[in-house]
This record gives sequence, structure tokens and C-alpha cells, in this order.
Amino acid sequence: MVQSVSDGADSSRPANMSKSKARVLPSKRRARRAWVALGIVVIAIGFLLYKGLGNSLVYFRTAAGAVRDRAQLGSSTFRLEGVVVPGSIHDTTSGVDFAVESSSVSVQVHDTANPPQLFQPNIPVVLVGHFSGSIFLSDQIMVKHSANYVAAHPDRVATVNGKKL
Amino acid sequence: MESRGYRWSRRAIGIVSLLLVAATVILGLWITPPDVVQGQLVRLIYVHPPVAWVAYLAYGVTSIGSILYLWKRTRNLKWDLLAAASAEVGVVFTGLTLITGSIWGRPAWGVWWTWDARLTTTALLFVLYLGYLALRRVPADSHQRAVRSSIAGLIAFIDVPIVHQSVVWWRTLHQGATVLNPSLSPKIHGEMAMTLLLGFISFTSVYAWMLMHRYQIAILEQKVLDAELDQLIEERRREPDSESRQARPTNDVGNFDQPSKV
Amino acid sequence: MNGYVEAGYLAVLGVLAGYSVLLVGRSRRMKKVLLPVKVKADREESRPTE
Repeated sequence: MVQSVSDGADSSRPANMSKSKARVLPSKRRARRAWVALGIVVIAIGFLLYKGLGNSLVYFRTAAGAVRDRAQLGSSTFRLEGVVVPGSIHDTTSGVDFAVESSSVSVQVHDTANPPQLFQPNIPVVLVGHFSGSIFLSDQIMVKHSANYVAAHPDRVATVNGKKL
Repeated sequence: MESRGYRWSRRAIGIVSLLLVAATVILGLWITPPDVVQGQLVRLIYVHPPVAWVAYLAYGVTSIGSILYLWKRTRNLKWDLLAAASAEVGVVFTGLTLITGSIWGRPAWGVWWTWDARLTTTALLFVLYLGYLALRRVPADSHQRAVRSSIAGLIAFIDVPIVHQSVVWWRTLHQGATVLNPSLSPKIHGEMAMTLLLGFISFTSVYAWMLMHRYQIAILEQKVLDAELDQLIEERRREPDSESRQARPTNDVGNFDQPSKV
Repeated sequence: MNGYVEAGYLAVLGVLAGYSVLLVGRSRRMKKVLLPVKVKADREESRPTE
């Protein structure tokens, strides 16, 4: 019942009909572009699924879990999560040494990258690196921020603006 | 062409949106206090979750439009055009979600990007609806295109709840939801919460304005397409030896207010 | 503030403004295209049918 209007119409367009007249009728060039775009999208979806299945299903191992599976992990690279133990942070020439903890199991970390600005005691972090003996050698620190938002100096701001919003 | 009521409500929503966004920016950038942990960075929280919410909303509207087209009792090309209009606006907002998230992630997490479940599924959402828009550009008659893209739109929507729940279902670097979390207990208060709420309202209003505009364009485009088809058929009819002499294609576009010319 | 915050707000406002301009331009162009079509259709309507 419905015929393919576009293709047929395009190929048999009378020569005397100026191209500029057709504003929305699909042209062959537009059709080809659409197919190319679809192809790119399909490739991108494949890439994202591959990345997702490879990384996001087990995005990180907790400190406790990593210590438990240390033998099996060997020196392979993975992401380690834990809370930075207060008082354990020592700056080194190349980075920072500290310990992370989860379920009261702690792991000593030797990091060789600059920590991000929110890096501080008691904050959960995700580290990229591998075990070397019982020490975790990290070359990337990511701060895992919580979903809590608390105003700093709420009183000061309230007085500055004269009123509470 | 365009009813007066439609035009006026669109303009009114446009003006209100401008004012709301301006208020959000002023409150977000200058009035609200810095955060205890994040400092000034917290200010990005007044735009990032709202634009992400608008993307969900836009794709929700796309799905509703798709269902209404696929359901025979409500079938009308207008629903398909509405779905398409909303999807395009949704892609803009998904793009903004990725950009603002990345800009926040660099200083807060220490990385522009990481392959955790929230980020990966959001990128997938962006690409899926880009695919939806690309599919719409593949030549087909209006009905065929509508059926095709309605199905594609509904399939793509599966990713929306996955994106939202990803922080619950998988271990992610991304934090959980601040307001719509499983325990439904907001973790933000006072003027910060009010500004976040204002952000949600203002970007939703911006979405409404954009959707009305984009939908109008889609309707106009469809009318031009119909006119062009009519012209084409007219010209073919005039060709004396035309083998392709044919009846008007039944490329029915539903009940537009276009005058019937037969 | 710290550069990132400004960049974020600028990105949002910039993209939304850009898209809005695009929408307004597109709908104006479409209306212009449609105008002669509409006139022609109206003319044909008023003509007695063949």
C-alpha cells in the first residue's frame, strides 16, 4: 500500500525541477549520510558495550575483597576501593603513601601520581594499580565523592546576605 | 500554520525559562554557600542533575509519542513527530550531562572520564538516541519511518532506568542519587536544596520551550514535504509518456489542518 | 571561582543558547519555505475543480 516515495522520486526527478526547490525531500546524498551515521552509531554502541562489560560490571574491588583474593590477583592491574586511613598519609618525592581500609581490613598504598584536590583523610578513594607483595602500587587516585552536600560556614553566608533563602 | 494560542504559550514559556535559568545561575554561582568537602565545585550540582533529569524526561516523552503512534487507535503522525522532536532535545541535554559531569569529575574525582557503570550507560544513552535520530534520516515514507523509529525509540528507552539504577546495581565511582535515592531521603538541605530544585524546574521549563519549537519545525517540515510530493506528482502526471503515471501516493500524514487538495 | 565551575555553567548556557538560536532560525526558514506553497495551495483551492 505504501510505496517507497523517496528513492523513486529522487531518481526520476525531472531535470527541469530545480534542486533548490526540494527542501525536505530526501536526496541520495542525505540517504548515504544517514546510513554512514547509523554505521558509526552501531560501532559506537559496540565499543561502549565492550568497555562497559570489561570495566563497569566489577568497577572496583574493596580493600577487604582484594586482600582476600590477593593470591589470585597476582600483579594484575585492577581498581582498589577503600577509605583513606587518617594519620596514614605521608607525602613522598613522587607522590604519596597512605593506607586504605574497608571492613576493617587495611591495605598499604604507595602512590606515584599527584592526588586530586579532594584527596584527604576519611574520604573513599578508588586506586588504579597492582599488588607488589602486600603493598598496592597505585598510579592513579580517584576520589569517590558521596552524595551528601553540606554548606560550609552556613552562618557566615546567612549573615552576609542578610537573610536566609 | 501555527495557532495563536500555541505561539503565545511558547513565548510565555520562553520568557519564564529565561528568568528561571537566570535565577538558577545567580543562586548557584553567587548566593549559595560552598560545600564542606567540595568547596566551590558544589555549584556544578545545580546544573548537572537537572540537565540529566531533562534527558530522562525527554526520552520519556519520546516513548509516550512512540507508543501512541504504534497503538492503532491513537495512530497519528503527530505523535511520531513529537517523539522525534523530544528525542533531539533529549540528545542535547544528554550531551550536556556528559559535558558537565566530565567538568565536575576532573577536579572532584581526578579524572575527566572513567568506565564505571553510570558513565558508560549514560554515554550509551547518548549514542542510542543519536542512532534513533540517524534512523529517522534513512529515507522511507512517513508511516514506515514512524513505525521504525517508534520501535527504536522504545528499545532505546530501556537504558534510562538502567542509567538511573546503575549506581545501585553496580559499584561505581559516581555517587548515588542525592534526592531520588532508594531510601528517598534527600542528602541536601536548605538553600542548596532550594537551588537544586530551582535548577530542576528551570531546565524543565527550557525543555518545554525547546520541545514546542522543535515540534513546530517538524510539523512545518512535514507540510513542506507533502507540498513537494504533490508538486512532484503533478509534474509527472504532465509528462505525456509517463509510465509511472500513478495515483497520489497514500503517504497519509494524518489529520493535519492542511486543506485537502483532492 | 576555580575555572571548572565557570566552564560548566558556560557550557550549559552556551549549548542551550546555541541550540535555541538554531531552532528559531530553522523554524523561520521553514515558515518562509512554506509561504509560497501555502499561497499556491490557497489559489488552487479557490479555482474551480477540473
